[in-house]
Amino acid sequence: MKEPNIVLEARDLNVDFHNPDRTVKIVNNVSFSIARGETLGIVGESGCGKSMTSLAVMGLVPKPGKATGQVLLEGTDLLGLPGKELRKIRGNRISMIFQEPMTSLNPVFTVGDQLMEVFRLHQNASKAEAREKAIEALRMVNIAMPEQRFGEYPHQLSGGMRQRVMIAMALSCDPQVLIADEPTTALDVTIQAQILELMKDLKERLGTAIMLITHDLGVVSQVCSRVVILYCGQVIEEAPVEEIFGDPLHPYTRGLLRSLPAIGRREKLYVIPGSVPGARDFPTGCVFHPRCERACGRCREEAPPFFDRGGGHRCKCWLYDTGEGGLTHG
Amino acid sequence: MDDRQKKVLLRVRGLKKWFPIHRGITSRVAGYVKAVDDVSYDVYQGETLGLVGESGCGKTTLARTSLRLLEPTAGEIQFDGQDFRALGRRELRQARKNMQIVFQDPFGSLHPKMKIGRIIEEPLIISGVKDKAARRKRVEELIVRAGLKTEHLDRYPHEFSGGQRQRVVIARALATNPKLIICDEPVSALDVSVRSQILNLLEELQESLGLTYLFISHDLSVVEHICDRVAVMYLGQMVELGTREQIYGGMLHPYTKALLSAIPLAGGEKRERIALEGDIPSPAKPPEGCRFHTRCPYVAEVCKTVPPFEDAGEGHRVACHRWRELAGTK
Amino acid sequence: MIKKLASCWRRYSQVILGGGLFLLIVLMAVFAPLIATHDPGAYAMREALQEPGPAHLCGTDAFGRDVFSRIVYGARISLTIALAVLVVCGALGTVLGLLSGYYRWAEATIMRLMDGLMAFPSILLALVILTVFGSGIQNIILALSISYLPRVVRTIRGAVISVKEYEHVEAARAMGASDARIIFKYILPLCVSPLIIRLTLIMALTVLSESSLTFLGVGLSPEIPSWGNILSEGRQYITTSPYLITLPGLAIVLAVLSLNTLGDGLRDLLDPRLK
Repeated sequence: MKEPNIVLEARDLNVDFHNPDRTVKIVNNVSFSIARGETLGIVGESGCGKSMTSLAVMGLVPKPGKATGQVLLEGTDLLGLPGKELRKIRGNRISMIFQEPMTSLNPVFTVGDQLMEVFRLHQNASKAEAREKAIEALRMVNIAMPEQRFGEYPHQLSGGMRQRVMIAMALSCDPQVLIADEPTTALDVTIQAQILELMKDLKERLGTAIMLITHDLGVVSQVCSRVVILYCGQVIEEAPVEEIFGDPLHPYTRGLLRSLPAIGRREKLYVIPGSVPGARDFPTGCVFHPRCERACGRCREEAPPFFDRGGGHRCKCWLYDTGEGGLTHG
Repeated sequence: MDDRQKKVLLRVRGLKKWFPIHRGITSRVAGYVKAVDDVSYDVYQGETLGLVGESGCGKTTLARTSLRLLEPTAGEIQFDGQDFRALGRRELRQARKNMQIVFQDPFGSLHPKMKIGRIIEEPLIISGVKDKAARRKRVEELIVRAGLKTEHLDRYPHEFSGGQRQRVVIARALATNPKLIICDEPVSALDVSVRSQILNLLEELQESLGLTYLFISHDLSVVEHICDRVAVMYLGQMVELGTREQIYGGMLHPYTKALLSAIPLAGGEKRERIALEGDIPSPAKPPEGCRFHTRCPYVAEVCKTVPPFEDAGEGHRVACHRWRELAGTK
Repeated sequence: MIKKLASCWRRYSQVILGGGLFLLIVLMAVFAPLIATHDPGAYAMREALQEPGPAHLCGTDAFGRDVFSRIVYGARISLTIALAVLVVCGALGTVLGLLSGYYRWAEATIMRLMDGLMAFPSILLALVILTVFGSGIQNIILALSISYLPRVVRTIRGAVISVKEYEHVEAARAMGASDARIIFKYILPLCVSPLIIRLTLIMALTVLSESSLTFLGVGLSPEIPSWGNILSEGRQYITTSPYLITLPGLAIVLAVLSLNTLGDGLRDLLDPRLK
């Protein structure tokens, strides 16, 4: 899987929170890579560590958390960089958009001011240049009448429009990587469709690598080319998007897909028993074993390694252990 | 089922809820937000009526106004054959035991300082069950019915996960044997793997207790899964109402088509999208004529007048001038 | 174990320190006859203006009264007033706050009245009330209660308005609960923590204001050994016998400090965001 144009790579990324009484591991040995122009979906339910993974990539893990491992942006390890260097990279080479655009925009400045700020900060543009670039950026994200919107305040815009502004801001410095943390969760379906369409279109035009964090498998299926499934802070399956939906391997992924109500199918929904454990009580052995129908003694005791199924599809489940004494696929 | 379906449990005619907008220091009324504007519908005994639409379309206001949790501005409401708007304050409070709500946010809808047992007991106390032992027995029965254990009764809400809390909310809603339950986005705040548990529970309870649900959701695949009939709302008005098959199989209104095509399907084939331009207009200034005409891809001259909410056969109703012409275009 | 104790201490230190100190002052007031070394009202002109020493722990004043005993008994007066103001403000403020927060019709009247009261500096308001009604313990309690009432009402009203929007309140309404039930069972329990915090701070203010009012001469009659009176009488001897005002001053400072620390500690402890 070593491709020459890999932009971002995480190797054995860990995030630990040190409390006085104990250490809690929120992200556990997560590895993934994103190539230029690729959209990688990072999927999981609440508490699976997906947001913490993105913060770790940005170097923004809140205290008392600590990220260890490697985050390579075109070969440079971001985790080893001093704060000053990192700030130069953030917003310039890696940028991020969030779920709720209202809280990420400053309510007392106009949209234009905030966009110009980015250009003046990172590209040392003059005022006139910055203004021109800001309007250009608004046009790029398909905002009608950009000159007029330029002078408006965030609260005057609708949710979809605000998310467009956030995207314009995030892409303004032509970053190599865009991290989108649940970018459409707060939006309505018709607006969500517009934003997803925009992200796809921009990715193709600009060749940005996108790391899309979401809980919505529907969104993933629409825009991602590869998917990483997180559960309890671990990657439990990684595959191209067609395989995740066509031939999911891990019992958790399978359960997740079967528990979705799908249009045109009205049988009783599949239920994964139990609920997602909190970070303080992640199970030992395979993290999914307490909820897994096919768990055996080995799952309770030993954490499974990745089993490679070829074609970039790998999965952490003992069911796929083809080595001696292991179980076969069935 | 056919016989029962004919019995109307809730009949709403010409319902309006206008919220005044106050301006200036004298608080003069500068206009109205027409959150619900002239809506008529029936809910049949034993069915699940889905209410779908994007945020701000008035679906929640419609449900609350229909039960007089918000006082309607105008319109008729009949609940179980009774003129519901004629009830006085005291009578209304008494009638409340026949209708309950399951809320979206299982964290906010439970009193944080009450034990679970007490929370479920409250509606019984309020509805005047004096016998303490009988109440306790009923509470124990309810908690088991909702899929929890009797030992959970002595705990506080914060000790439970979202899915478990939603079970408590459901148990509380069932306490007084209500005829109608409003489910206001009951699974939107839950994780995917927990969502199916709650949906299945709601279905089981409906089967065994003959409940009637008014199911509000923005998630069309959930609605398709659980509802018998579906009403689509746009800017305070109903634009289409029909059985599940009528809506999902042969929807007539362009807005319904756009809404359905915007759902990102997990693993599904990538469908042809009917992309909607622009944002939802403000309900304080809805467009003249057909309210959807500003975003409708099939807009014509006739759309500047208000379309009737007419019957398109077999109870399938639609508010569009051009549905006959468009019926062929999928 | 040590770590656990340390984190426990970090959380509760303010409450323990503030509460502990305040408890000492309360105990001092309650057991004043046992603690006081002399009769606080007994004149002994021959022993007038003695420096602190073994016979008189805090010295004596111009009339030879034992300052330590007067401070000990003074705690009774100051705390009684503070407690009375707390009860009046707490009860009345809660009722008015609940009404104005819950009912729109009550809001306009009650809040305009409270805003009117708030517009005066509270000490000035108390001064005016005392001038009109005359001095005395009851009137001080009345004056200070009126001055501090608006703060309590505002606190409760603010809490009610935010709690009222919670879904569990709407759930109660949907169950058919009466207004009284909603107010007392569903709203009030969630307003208790801001109320407690506000009231501890008001107690501290009361101790301070009573002293100020008495010092200004409109509070208690001079024979009552309140902290304000001790201070006021000592004023004339400030250059020759500074202990006459520093020691009662210290008592006031400690009482106010303990209550403020307790209030701050409770606020941090009861704020769910800081848990």
